[in-house]
Amino acid sequence: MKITSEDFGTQSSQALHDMQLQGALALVSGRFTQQRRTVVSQTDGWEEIRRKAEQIKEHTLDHLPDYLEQLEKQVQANGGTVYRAGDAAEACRQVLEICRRHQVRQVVKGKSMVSEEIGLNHYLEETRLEVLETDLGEFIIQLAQEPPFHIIVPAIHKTRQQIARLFQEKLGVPYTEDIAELTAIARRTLREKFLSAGLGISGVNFAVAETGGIVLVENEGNARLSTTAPRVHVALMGMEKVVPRVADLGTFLTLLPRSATGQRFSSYVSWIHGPRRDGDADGPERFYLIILDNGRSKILADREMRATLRCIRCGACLNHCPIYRHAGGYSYGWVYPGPIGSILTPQMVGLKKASPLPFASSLCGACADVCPVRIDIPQILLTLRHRIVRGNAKPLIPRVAEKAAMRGWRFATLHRRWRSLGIKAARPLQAMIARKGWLSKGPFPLSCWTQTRDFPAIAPKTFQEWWSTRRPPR
Amino acid sequence: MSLLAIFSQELARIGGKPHPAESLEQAAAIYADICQEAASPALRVRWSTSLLETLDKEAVEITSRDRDEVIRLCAQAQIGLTEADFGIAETGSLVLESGPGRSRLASLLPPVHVAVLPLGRMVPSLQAFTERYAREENARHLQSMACLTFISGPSRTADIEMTLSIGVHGPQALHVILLKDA
Repeated sequence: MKITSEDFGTQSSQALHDMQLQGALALVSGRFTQQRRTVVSQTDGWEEIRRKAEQIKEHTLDHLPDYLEQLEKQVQANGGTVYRAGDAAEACRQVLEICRRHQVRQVVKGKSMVSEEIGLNHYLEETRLEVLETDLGEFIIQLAQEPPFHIIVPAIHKTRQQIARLFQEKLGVPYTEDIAELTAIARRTLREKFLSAGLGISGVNFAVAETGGIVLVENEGNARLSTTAPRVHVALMGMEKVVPRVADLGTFLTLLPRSATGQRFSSYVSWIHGPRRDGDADGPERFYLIILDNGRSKILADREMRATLRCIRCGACLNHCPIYRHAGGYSYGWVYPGPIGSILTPQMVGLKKASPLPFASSLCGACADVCPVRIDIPQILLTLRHRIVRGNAKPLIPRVAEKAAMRGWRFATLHRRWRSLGIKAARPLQAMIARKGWLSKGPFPLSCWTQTRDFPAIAPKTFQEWWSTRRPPR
Repeated sequence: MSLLAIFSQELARIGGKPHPAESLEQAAAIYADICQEAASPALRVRWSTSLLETLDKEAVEITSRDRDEVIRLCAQAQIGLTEADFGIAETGSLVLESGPGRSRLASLLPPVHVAVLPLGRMVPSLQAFTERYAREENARHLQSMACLTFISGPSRTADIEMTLSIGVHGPQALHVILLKDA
């Protein structure tokens, strides 16, 4: 996938003028945040569960190589095969190799953010394999040839009318705006494919080192179908998805559905331990697990960034972010949008290619408040900002101007008399441009600010001037 | 509130249908009603357990046989009948273990899924359920089965305009017969 994070500014301002998109964003974030709030208020000891999850993840990251090794051994003991992939290209090659080995021509896929990250569909389609997304939202955006708009509901930016036209055009079915009917069309179309596909690909929500199990969380049943009907199952995971023990799943499976959709539990949760066993009536004959690094080791080694790897991809930070709620998913220019994208993308694709993202935040802290694994996203954003500024990404003049302004500010705050003088001198100057207490068009360097927002005008009286005219009360 | 009451309330809230049964005879009567309602005569498939055999002798047992045959049967069936290994009251969830005679597709491909849950297998919460596996031998046993499936209500999606649709890939209806222990 092409990375366009550098264009966050233009992309987000386009999104702001797209009224349909704004409506969809209000709907998804409104619904998910409200449902989450309700279910969290009904969950005893929520904060304690979050702290426990944080603790488990931190412990796992401390011992990541050991747990990955244990996971690998247990998957093998279950009759599965494990591959390690250093980067996206290697993971794609491994999947292709498995497809060729088993002479597969048709692949069905459950939703997987990692597969988006490595551009798997595109890669496999170039080799003339048929790859079909089976999550309803993913199916829709695959037909439209677009990337996911939201981690949980990938096609939420599309109206039913657009989907109706898309189905009519691509699937040759009669036009219908009825959502139940559109869903039924997808069910019929995909059902045939599930039953004829030779290989199913899934993501991994959690992998358990102790048992070599992988856990899949979903509502539709497409992940179950993709991992049960075809002869071969390939699961793709980022290396940070491992947890030590089965008992830890109680914590994470309590947090994930509540944070993602506000459900107490998702419709289907599967704990998969390798291929079918002797005597089983169904299930895949072969099981492969691909463990992907793709820059994660580097994040792990960076003390200030490491907490990023705790993420369980619930999407709560997106729904609660005032920036995401207006800029939408595509503005972020890569696979992972919202606050988590703003800290993950720069680390994975490089600061240079994603420099606007750490600044795409008001630092309000809502993301940290709702994060089920307590990632301090604002702190990581600040650290990334610091690195970008130190890395000297800005052109010379604004940099010098900013420095001078900050020096001036420091001087003014330290010297009261000079500050009062400065304020008195500024008042007649601003009278030319102030409107109703706001400056909306300032001269350079103030224009750097007023291009995008108004600046409050200096009040007719300072507080001290006003106070000094007051008589003490009797 | 009893675990049965909590389970029933939660299951109903997420779109499943709880049916408490005092005895096996009553369970059979409830099951017959469900079959009637779900278009009979229809192809029915089931797990191969003694409890389910007494409930529905005529349903096709899905056992280890030709792969395509298993898929064809489950895909054509109107009803899939299974026996839950655990129930989780707090979330109204069923837990189904895979194994010989315990098909994974039987609870997935037919549009109607009927599960029998003997009440002695009910646990209060997900946390209580996962705590079981803090014991090493339980974890080893878990690992010996290819798949453990948690089912909470029918298949659902809200991917189009956040509007709920039931039965997108899995069953459109989930009936749980809550069988009082003999």
